[in-house]
Amino acid sequence: MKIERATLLDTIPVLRLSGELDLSTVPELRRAIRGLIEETQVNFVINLTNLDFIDSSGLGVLVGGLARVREKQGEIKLVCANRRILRVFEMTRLTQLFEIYDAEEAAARDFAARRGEAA
Amino acid sequence: MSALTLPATLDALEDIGQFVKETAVSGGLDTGAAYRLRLAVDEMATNIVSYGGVAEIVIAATVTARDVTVTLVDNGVAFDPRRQALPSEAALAAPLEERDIGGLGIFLALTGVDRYDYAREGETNRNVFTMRKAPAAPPT
Repeated sequence: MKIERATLLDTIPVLRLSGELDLSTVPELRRAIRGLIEETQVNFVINLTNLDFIDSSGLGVLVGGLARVREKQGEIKLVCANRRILRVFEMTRLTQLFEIYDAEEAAARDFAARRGEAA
Repeated sequence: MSALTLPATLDALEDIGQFVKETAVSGGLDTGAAYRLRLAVDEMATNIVSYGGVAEIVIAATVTARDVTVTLVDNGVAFDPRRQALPSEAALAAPLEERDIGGLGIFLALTGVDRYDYAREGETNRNVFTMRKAPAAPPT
């Protein structure tokens, strides 16, 4: 699996995942999420569109990350335009837990709008 | 029938995934069915290599005109996943602070395929995953 980090709208971090997220690769994602939180970045986007595969261990790391950022009043927004990956979220009802978008721009705009409301 | 014997380690998961992908393609499953078959087998194989305490795992595949079947065999302690409590609808719909992420692997393994069977035969566990092929379009 590869993780590419970028920034949306100059301020919102995004982790772009590609390849396979399973038991052997979840430590990389866990480290990346932990790294963002240590930087006090608790609002960020994870893009799953280019993942080829995700299993329950991958879902577990995402849910764990979401719990950790919400403790700090943050949010992880997911981007997933990949039907097969999205289906796994639907099967496990994680679509009710995560905000999932088709495109990074939409997720970033929502973060920006929320900041605007809070300001 | 094709089969592969692998050491029951995390590294085997990649080979198992590749085996299922190739079987699904050669067996003519559509991409959605192929993905769910791979996911189900991956989840069970992960469970076996993580908790089964076994040295080897055997994966075999059978393709017929109607379906594709993948079987995982191990000689670990008897483990019938059908006897495990799967997350209920209420548990799956629970808010984050109440949600228990455990049990999703077995849930995906058992519910993602068209048919799942388990048998304890002698000292071995047999996990059998079956996906039906989509019916061919009628000739025009």
